[in-house]
Amino acid sequence: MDETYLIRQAQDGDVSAYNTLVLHFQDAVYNVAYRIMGEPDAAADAAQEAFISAYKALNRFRGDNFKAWLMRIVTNACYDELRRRKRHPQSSLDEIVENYDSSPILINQDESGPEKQSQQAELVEAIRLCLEELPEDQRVAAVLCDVEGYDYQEIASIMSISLGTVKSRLSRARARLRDCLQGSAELLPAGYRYQ
Amino acid sequence: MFDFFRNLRKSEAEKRQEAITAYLDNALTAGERQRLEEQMTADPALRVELEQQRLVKLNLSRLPRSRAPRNFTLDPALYGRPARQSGAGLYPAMRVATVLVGVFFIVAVGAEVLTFDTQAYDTNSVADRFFAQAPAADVVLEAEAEMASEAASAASFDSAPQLGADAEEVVPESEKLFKEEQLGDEPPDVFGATTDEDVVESAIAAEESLAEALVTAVVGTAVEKTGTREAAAESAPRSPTPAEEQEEPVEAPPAEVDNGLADLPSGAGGEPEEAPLSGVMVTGEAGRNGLAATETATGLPPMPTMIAVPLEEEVAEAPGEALAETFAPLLEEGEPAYRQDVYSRLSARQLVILLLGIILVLLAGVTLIVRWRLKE
Repeated sequence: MDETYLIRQAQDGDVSAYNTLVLHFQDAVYNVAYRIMGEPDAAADAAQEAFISAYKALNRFRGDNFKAWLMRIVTNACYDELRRRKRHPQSSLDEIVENYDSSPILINQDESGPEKQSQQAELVEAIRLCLEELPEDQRVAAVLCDVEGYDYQEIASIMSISLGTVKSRLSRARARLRDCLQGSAELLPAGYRYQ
Repeated sequence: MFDFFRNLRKSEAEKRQEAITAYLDNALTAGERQRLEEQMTADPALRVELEQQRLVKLNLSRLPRSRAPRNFTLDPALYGRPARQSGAGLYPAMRVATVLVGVFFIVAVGAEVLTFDTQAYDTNSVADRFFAQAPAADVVLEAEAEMASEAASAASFDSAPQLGADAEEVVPESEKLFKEEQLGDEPPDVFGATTDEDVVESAIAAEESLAEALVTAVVGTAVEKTGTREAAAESAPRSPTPAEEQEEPVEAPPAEVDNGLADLPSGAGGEPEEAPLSGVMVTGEAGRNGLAATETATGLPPMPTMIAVPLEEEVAEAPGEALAETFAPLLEEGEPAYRQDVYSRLSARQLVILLLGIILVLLAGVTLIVRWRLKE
């Protein structure tokens, strides 16, 4: 896929070229949104909103890292949604049931048996809960660095913060996650338990 | 820079933890990495901390990837060509321009603050040059000042020399004379005071009366100069009218008045002690009449508005502002050449600062708006 060519075509109004880019990056965008939002539906909405915003603002893209630019947009979309929820908190039984039913489809599940799968699911759930307990800025830093594998410079660019702030947020996030996961130590595989 | 200040507030434990985090992510320099490894060799707690962070990172990285629940592609029928962002290209240039103007503004303000005294001195020089450019005005002013001086010497200052010395600091002689003229038959008992209490009270009363008289003089003189002249004629020698001055050449003025008017150096070599500002401008009624007469005697159009010349203290506090306020009416209505000279020299630097400030505010505002629209 010639990313630069597709971007130029999309900037000239070729929606199908842009859709090619969407299909290429949508899993990554959705995963970031899901780890930040913690809910599949909210993550899907944020990802859709991000792709629409990105297309409208495509002519502002001047850099060479389209993925990082997309991540910045989806991160901002998640921030906006989280802020909106803080201003207007609402939850209903229907919403809880709906969220439970729409759990995400995992790509690289461990295929080593039902027991292992159960342990894996519990571990994922424990990490998800610990991530949700983090402050938003630390959660985004941890997701981008440890889950998505971005380096500090890219994280600083995506979050519009300095390198020092990236280090600081990441350090605090890991310290909190460590404390949180120590409470779920029995869920961790032997090699992943803290001593 | 902000990171530097933030680091100052961090505890040693926080710094150590951040160093371990950066070590895990290969974000340390070679020197920092070597230092941390040496510390870990000596400190087992650091190694434990490193291992715990490594496990956290490992757990997070093993989180399963999720597939998008649906495609997020856009409908070509709903979305046309992306909007052109006209401000996107301008934003970097505007940001640079804002920074540059800001730097120039700071430099200009700094230069203004650092050279404040020098400029005040230059302001006096400008005032001197202003008077020097009107030679006929000098002659008339000297004559007026001479008459005022004679009237002052005829007054009863000699009977209270101590009070006279105190009042001298506040009230120039011509203004004392003018005060007596305005108060008419009931002058305050300032000059006949004998005790200290009387002297103080009388001095206060004299100051209040003088303030009222000055206000009355400024307004009254501008509205009707003839009434003031008649009042002055009752207690002092009559001031010659401009027509009389043209007919009768004025004799050479006394040395002390001449020192303040005609022979002042126009450059930086002037000595303020020898030529006090009150002498230069001939405060009070005499000075005002002198300015009015100057206009007529030199054949220039008559000046409809009279000027209240500031006292020495006012000038000493804010020389530039006081002089600017003093000469503002004259500059507006007087000779264009004078206006150009005084106005441009008096406030050229201030005008530059003002202009830079306005440009800076406008640029910053537009840049912020463009930035805000780009972020949307």
